[in-house]
Amino acid sequence: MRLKLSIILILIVLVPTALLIGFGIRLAGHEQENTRDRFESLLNDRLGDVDQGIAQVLDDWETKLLRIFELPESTSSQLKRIAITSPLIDQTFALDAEGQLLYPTYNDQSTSTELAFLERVNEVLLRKDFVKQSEGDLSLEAHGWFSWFWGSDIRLLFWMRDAEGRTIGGEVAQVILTSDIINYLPHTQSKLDLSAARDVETRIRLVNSRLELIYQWGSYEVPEGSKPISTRSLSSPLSAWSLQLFQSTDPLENAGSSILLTIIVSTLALGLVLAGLGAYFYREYSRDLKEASQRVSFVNQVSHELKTPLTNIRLYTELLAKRLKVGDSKAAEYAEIIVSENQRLSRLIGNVLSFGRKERDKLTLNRSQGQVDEQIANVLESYRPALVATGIELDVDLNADLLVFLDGDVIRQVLGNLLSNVEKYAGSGKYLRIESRRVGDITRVTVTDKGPGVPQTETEKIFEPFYRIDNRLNAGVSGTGIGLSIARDLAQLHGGDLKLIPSEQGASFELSLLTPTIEEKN
Amino acid sequence: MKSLKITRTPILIFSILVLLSSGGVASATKIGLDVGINKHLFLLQEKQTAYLRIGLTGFSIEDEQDRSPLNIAIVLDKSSSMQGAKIERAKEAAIMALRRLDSRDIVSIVTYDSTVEVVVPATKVSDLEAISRAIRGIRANGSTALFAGVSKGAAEVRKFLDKDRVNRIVLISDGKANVGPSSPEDLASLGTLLAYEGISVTTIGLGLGYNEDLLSALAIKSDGYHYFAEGLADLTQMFDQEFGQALSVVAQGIDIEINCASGVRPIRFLGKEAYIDGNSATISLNNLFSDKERKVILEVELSPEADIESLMEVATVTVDYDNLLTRSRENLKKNLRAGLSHSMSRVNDSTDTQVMIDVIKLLAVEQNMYASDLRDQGRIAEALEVLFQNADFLTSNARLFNSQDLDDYATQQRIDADNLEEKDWNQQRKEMRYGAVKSLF
Repeated sequence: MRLKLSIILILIVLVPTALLIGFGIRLAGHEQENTRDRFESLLNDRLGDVDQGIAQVLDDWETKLLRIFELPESTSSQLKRIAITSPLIDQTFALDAEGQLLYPTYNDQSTSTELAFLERVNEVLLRKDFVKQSEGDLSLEAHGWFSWFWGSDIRLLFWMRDAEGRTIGGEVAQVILTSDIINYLPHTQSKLDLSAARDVETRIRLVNSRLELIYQWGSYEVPEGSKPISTRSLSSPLSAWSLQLFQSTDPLENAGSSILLTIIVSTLALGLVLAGLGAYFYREYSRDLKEASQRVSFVNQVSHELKTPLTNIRLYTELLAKRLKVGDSKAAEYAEIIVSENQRLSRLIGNVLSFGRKERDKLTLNRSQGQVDEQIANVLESYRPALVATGIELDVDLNADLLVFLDGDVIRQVLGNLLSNVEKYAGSGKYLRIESRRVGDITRVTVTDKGPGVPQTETEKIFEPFYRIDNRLNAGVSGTGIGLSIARDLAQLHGGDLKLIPSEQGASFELSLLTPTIEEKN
Repeated sequence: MKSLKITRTPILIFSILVLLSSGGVASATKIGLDVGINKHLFLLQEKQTAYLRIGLTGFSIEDEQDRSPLNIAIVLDKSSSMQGAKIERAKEAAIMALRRLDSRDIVSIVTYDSTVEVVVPATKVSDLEAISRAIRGIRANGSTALFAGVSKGAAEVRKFLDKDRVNRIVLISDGKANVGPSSPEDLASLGTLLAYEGISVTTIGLGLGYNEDLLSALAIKSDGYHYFAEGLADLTQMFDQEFGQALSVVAQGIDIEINCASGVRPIRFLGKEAYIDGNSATISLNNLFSDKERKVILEVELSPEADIESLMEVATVTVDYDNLLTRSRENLKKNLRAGLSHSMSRVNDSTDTQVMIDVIKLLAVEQNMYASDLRDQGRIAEALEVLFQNADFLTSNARLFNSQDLDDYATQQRIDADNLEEKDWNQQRKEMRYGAVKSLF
């Protein structure tokens, strides 16, 4: 009993706790994912802003370069002059409408810069890639960027169409562009003038196509080999370059784990409360249990002690009745009532004792030789006066007079309970039939009345201890509610059962008993 | 313009007198322009090499109140190699140099290690104490984002970029750039852009760990000065010199255009790259200091067409510059003529000593750099040979023109030749680049 209670209590504590933890972890995982998504988009926005700024720098360059190439006629000498004098341009070029290089060309006047350019930007490349890229746009004001890989990194070429359909442009001085981009980008703020030293430190890097560092800012010193938490390629034409964001602590870890931590802590707290409650109930319950069992054993003892005086009262009452003068019917009647009440009290005490034994798993059977019918007659005899007084007509049909092994006390107690119920609840039927018959080793005794009967829904509940049908039936009738329960237990102890069997009117109980004959027993 | 149709000799003598008397004496508020050629006479109808010397002299500043206001960015390397005495001394030197400035001047302090920090954004030097405090707070560590440091320094100078201010960056570095663009060519490109914008970068190489090619290229391209501060003691003195120079700038944005007459073809400028297109050669300088002369030398090829002894138009030199005192763009112009003769001896006797000394010095510097390149390739023997020949060339010319400067430089060649061994080379190389930049000022 206690073990069962402990297990139930532990389950009551553990199951919700485990469920909560499970849900918590799922929630935390979910939350972490959410936070990661939100955070990543936030970081990406931040890098996106930087990218926008760099795109703005390139737009400014485009404006400057358009002004530089605003030439009345793009002669080679003009282009050559631009190449030499403009720090924004490494080398200029001109292509005719067919994509043939007009300038620079290989000749004895070629400068080293021109030669290097020709080597980098061979005509094939210009015709195949550049012309193709810009072909779709044939309008005269067309201009744009063209990028290709050379050496370790990309190279940028600015081009525009002139009035004669020629394409002129120049290779951008990458270093100067880089310097301009660096100047657009922020510098590192000193930690001293930022009072927020506990803030998350970041570092953003601009890297080229080979992931070589071009520029970086932010106070966070990135440990060797650490991975950026967010990366973004720059917009065209510098799309080979990318931005990397590093951060001192991964805020995502915090986000998820803090939720997880909260959940675990609150779950543990809840678990503790539940465990405390469980322990409290366990203590209360076991105290109640102890008290109850003490009470039961007390009642048992008292009941036991009551048996002897009751037996004596009965004995002396019977003796007294025999001595009464014949004709003193009044006194005889009184004596009979005393005996009958004594009987009832004995039965009740028997019930209490049986219940107590059953609670302690100490119900035992004491078989001895006897006839079932004899036991029935015995019980009937003792209840007859009460039954007669209630006006109940008896219909007795006994066919089990074989000598068998039985426990007379048990049978008498069961039948006594049944008859007592008839007297108490079925007096209105004015009828009681007791029938016994033997089939094989089983003796069946049916007790039928014509009282109000048992409602269909209650047919099993009436065998539960302390259950009493709550209706007009028992109105004004006292009872303990353990009679039928004990009766069934005893019947089962005797190898049989006690059942309510269907009947047309009133209630009909069938008591079955295992009653082996002497020969069989041997 | 005087008539040329008089008798030959007097004209020649007269023209020589004109040339001599027109020496670059600066007037009170105008810079002096002196145009010379290595000989006064050239052979008739013969291709020959000649050197034009254009000398510019800054006028005197009489009153300290008239000095030019500065717009200067100090870009300080605070990478881990600067830790300890170096950074401390650099900070001290910077603070001391700043004491020479006042509220007319604008200063910014930029530091760099693996990232760049603008410690003091461009601001008027009115609260020197606050600026000094910021400088003292600088701590060294990290790697060397030199390119970004100079870029950000330039950004600070650009905030107050003004042709009436001396716009410059002073870069102090003891290490090799290793974050971002880091090659001498990259920094040279940046230097070119800055020169174009009118910003000079003075570079101070500290100790023996810096990249002298990079720092000298940046300085030369932006017309700034380059110093080799071997020891910490040099640093303070160089800072002082640098600020002294900056405070004495009287002209900026100096564009020199030399238009050669027919029969004269410009070949190259000695010691500097510049733009030559047909008969026209242009070169820009960014700084001219008070009471100091700076010169450029243009090598030309003369092919006189005349067949009689006469005066030949050689070139017209135009100089445009921003006068920091008058705050206006001014213009100077001079014509250069030379006589023609068939007498070899007279031609040889017509040598201009001052021009020749400068030409020989710059040619020798070129040879010195050539020797350095040979040494870089491990061709020590050839480098030695070049240096000794250079020394002999300098010695004989020193004797011929009685020049102490050339004689000293000859000695320097022999010293350089002694230091080509591996253990000395790093330092020697730095000395040679330092010398090359000096020769341009």
